[in-house]
Amino acid sequence: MSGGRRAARPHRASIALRLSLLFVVCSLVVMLASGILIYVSFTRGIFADEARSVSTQVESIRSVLARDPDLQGVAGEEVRHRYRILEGADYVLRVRDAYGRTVFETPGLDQELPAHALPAVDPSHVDAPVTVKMRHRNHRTYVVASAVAQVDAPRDGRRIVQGAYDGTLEAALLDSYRGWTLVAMLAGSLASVVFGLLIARRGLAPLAEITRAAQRISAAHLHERIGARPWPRELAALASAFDDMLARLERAVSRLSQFSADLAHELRTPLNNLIGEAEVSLSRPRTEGEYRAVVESNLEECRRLARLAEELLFLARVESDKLRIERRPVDGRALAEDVRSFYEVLAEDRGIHMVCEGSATVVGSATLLRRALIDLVSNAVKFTGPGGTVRIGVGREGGRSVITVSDEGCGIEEEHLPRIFDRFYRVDSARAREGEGVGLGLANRRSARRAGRGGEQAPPGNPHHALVPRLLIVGSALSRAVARQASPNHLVRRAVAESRTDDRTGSDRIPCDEARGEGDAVARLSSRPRAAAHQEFSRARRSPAWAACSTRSGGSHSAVAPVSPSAARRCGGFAMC
Amino acid sequence: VIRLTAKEFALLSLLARRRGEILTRTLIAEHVWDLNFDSDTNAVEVMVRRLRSKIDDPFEQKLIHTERGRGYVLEER
Repeated sequence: MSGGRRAARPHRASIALRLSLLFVVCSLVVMLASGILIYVSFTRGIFADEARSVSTQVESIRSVLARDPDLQGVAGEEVRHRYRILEGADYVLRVRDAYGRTVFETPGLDQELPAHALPAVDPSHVDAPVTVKMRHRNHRTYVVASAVAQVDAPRDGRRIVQGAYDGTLEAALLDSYRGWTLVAMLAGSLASVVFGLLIARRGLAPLAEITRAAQRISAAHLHERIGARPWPRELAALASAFDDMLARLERAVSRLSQFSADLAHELRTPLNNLIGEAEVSLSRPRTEGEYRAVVESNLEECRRLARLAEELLFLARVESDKLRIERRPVDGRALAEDVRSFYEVLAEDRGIHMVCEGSATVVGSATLLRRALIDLVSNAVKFTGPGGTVRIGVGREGGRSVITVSDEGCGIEEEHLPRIFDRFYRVDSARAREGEGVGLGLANRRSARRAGRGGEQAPPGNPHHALVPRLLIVGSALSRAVARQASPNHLVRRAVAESRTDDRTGSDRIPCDEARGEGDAVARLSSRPRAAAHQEFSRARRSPAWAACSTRSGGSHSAVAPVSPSAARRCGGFAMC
Repeated sequence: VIRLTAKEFALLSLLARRRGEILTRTLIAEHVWDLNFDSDTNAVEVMVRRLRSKIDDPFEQKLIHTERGRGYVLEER
């Protein structure tokens, strides 16, 4: 968590080094290839040039020999004159007869370039001159053209003409070119290692920067973001992914700390009750009956704690996806009637009417749906005054099956809507009061409840329906997919989300925007909730069914909310798709 | 003749079948309403009160007893 560097762990070579080595290899290959190409084409071009010119010389001698086989005439004299110099001359010449006797040669040529050193010539080959490049002793390079001339002479009618061009200069030039090219290549490679490193370092600088930025963020600074700065395109995606992760972390951490606080609070009250009662009962001798009463009372608190633990466990299982929700077609009306039958007596007792209307089939887990419905109805019954009506509506709306619970209570203040489905959330600040006195939790709870009721005294003639928020849980396969990776999911969301209407027509699909809430199911509280603080959230809050749903709102008057008991009292509805 | 509603009858028959045994509210909810989890137990209390008003209140000997913190039991005391 601290920004400290991790202990060294095995890692691969640095990117900068690898990049620059690759860079070097690439440039070396390119330079080598182009150097070889240029060298070869130079060499070939020069040789072709030399071969052509020496061939021309040999051809001209051949034509002279045709007329003057022993080069004793005027034309021969001219030839002898032309090839008389060895040192520094471009061309040297040797003419022999068919028996190998020298007819003419550039003076000193037998020293410099003896006949046996020249390529052998097939006397029958009378075509165009054959050219060969040869490197002789003293490192001189010659291009030799050999040809056979047919002459009109007694005893033998052939002359072998061999002309040589001294290409030493060109060869030296090419050699030095080759040498320098190699040197340049080596130096270039060394330089490109250095440049490559520099470039790679520079190019990777933003990476180091983003690392530093990430290191600065600790658990205490999860609100910071790194994506605000203009990162290079390659890193922008990383930065925004990192920011998304931070946002998720921040949400998770704050939810977790909120949850811990709430949980601690939730535990404190029963514990304080237990301690308080035990202390009081021990303060003086008691009769057996008194002890019995205390133990019984303690047992109640213990049960409460046990229930709380069980529900938390259940929630944890639901949220960790370990709980498989079985989906089956469920008769929505039968579900509603079940719940009504449970609450009917209680409602009658309080002078409240309970009405079930409509029908629809939903696909989902009957147990979880019933549980969610019970939370809503229980809340509705608690916050409806004598003479009021709690309605459970079952029907279809916009291609979805919807179960609505509405009451004639006072609604919830808008500010609370986004949070009413948080675990342990209470609309009133009863918690603050509750926490003040040690051992007074239960009493405080009761008084808080009374205070909550006060808010229910809605003015007569209040147009309830307009004020009653509708709680809507929408789910679909689509949103379920979204939900998988999003958000803390809730039982209800899943219970409901995984429900779908029975008839699988296309119209059953929820439009995407319906599902844009955090999770599977979007629970929505719409219309204007008014007034009032309700202590009764506490029960709702603890109820796993609702606790799980936290939400987001679509429209101005909608707060998406998972179902919470407290919400129920204003009016709730679930839609199942 | 005492007239009971269906649920009252279900509750009475549950208590009678397991008389002498303390039945928790959750258990009652489970058997009478088929609600197999902890839910609002006020409804159970109300139902028990109604049943009492019919089978206990008119008579000297009470049959249904409340065991505080535990539940209800039907027995002769």
